[in-house]
Amino acid sequence: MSIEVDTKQADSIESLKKLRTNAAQIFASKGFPTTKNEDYKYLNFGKALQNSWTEAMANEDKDFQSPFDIDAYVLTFINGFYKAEYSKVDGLPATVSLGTLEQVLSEVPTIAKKLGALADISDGFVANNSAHFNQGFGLKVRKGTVLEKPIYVLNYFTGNQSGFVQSRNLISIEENAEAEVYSHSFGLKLTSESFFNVVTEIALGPNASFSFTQIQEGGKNLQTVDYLICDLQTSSRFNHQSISLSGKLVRNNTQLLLNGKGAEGHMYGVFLPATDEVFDNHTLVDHRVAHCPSNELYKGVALGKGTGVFNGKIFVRQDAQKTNAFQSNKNLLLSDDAAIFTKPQLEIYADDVKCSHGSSTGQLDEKALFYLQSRGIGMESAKRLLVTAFAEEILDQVKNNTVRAYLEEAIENKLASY
Amino acid sequence: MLSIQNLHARIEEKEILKGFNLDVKPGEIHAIMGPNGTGKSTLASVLAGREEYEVTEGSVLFNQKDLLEMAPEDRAREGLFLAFQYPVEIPGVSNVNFLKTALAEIRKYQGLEPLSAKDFLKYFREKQALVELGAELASRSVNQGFSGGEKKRNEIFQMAMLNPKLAVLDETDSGLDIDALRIVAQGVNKVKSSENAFIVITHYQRLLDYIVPDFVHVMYDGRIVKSGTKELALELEEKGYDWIKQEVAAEA
Repeated sequence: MSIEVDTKQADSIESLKKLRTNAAQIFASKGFPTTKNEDYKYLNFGKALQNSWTEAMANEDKDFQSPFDIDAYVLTFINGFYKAEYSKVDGLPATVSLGTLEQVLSEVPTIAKKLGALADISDGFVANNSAHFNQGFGLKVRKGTVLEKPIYVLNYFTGNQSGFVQSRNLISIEENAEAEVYSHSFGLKLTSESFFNVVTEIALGPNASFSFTQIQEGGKNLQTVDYLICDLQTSSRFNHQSISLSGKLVRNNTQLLLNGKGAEGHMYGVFLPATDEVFDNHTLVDHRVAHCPSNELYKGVALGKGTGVFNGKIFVRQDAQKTNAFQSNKNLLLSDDAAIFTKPQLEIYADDVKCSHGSSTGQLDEKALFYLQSRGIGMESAKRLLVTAFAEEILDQVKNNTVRAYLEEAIENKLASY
Repeated sequence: MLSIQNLHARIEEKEILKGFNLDVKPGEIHAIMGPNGTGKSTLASVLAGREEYEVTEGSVLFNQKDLLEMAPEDRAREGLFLAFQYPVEIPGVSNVNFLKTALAEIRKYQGLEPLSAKDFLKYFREKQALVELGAELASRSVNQGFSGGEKKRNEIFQMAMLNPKLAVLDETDSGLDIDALRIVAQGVNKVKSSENAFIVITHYQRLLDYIVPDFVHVMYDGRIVKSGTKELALELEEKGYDWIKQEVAAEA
């Protein structure tokens, strides 16, 4: 079977060529950020950044098994290569385009102009991705279409070759349309250090509704930089759920641009760094126009020698009167060697707004622990129950029962080993 | 079943229990009464194993085993149950999951397999009916948003589920209206058997109209100063505690 490593057909699109050339130039002058950069100070990526992406990695799928069986449209990528045989897109409404980015670009060439329209190319990882991305997925849900079944995008990493996988995703949910995506990166079978640099751009039309859940389960060997940006037009609604279960290093850059009156952004996250894992969340909610609510809740549980970072910024521009913006970060530190760094930030230039932010880091409630123990529940199980309960508020946002059950079990398993 | 000998305990530097003695046999109900601040709740906390309390002297044998040596969870697994005066709210942990875990760990300790999901649910529903705890409350997070009375009923529900040998009810009647009191007492009476025993800590005689004690003890200044039958409770209700205090002062 032949594999098309580059997106040749897509590259014939003029705007894409330009993007790649421009991005390559920017990257050449900037390179990847290092720990000297304030925004990346907790992340030492090391040699994994020098890995490459080779065709041989496409054939590492002998033992492939989907982490869960979900009633959804499925796109499966193995080490960054699209695998039609493990994907399932039949039965899609005619008003929905879903497939690899290349497929969607050729089906809907006009969507190409949206590529690179949102992502901040001054970031080294975005620049490198824009210049060199391999594959990824595209989704276009046309006006008024409500996609009943969710979409499950699996990025499965496996094998013993160190790779550098760059995926690019482009999503457009048009006026009054609705869709739900579960994006899962899974690296538990990976036996050598690989790197996953992914950029997702999302455009929501007026009154569109979109939910995106990212599940990061990279295991011991995967480093991930996940950049996601969403543009929200009038009265659109975006729900983002970020679940970081495992991964050597994980950096999430999640940015919401509230560009239309009444647009609503919700961001929920739970991250559980353990051993030497570093999970670093940088979020931005940019209130650019009036009358937009936003709500953010991130919860961290640091175990072992894990390090968790929350850096959340709410930006309220001068025109964004009547903004309602809330942000909260709550953390549990479950070991003396674990660390949490939290930096909630508000920058407000409008005068008639309601904004609040808060952050707390603490240990498990002793009274609750004793209460559980007094009912015969051992210390370990008691801790597990309380931590799972702590994460529950975020998992409650995950609407799909299969995914929800999977996450609950994954969290319990992780806690059981600490 | 329970034998407390010369128990002394303190919290921080303050000595609260000062030579407490009590023997409880299967099938018995003991009421412990007394004015505020005499150490009734401390006794309950020490028995359950709260770390803040330090036992400085004395012993507690529970089924011939040294209770004070055991971790709180092992005390529960051995069959001790404390109905808390102030039950804790635990958001995110459902009553069902909580009790399923507790029961499974207790059964494991006793060398038994956990109940099947079906059997557990049947058992759960059965006990739920016993304390008239609605399905909605039973499936919610532990005590979260429960009224005072609902919390106390939930304590008795947990007691019924875990089926202890000895239950200590720490002011379970406080804050209950008459209907809730009746339901709580009814729950206790249904669980009661010749195999188990109860220690009922209370300020008021009212509860003892419903849960009839075999013995009534008056606690004052960290120890039991007077014991009798249920008539003693009536006498206390009528005369208050001052005469007890005077008796103790006269002895000293």
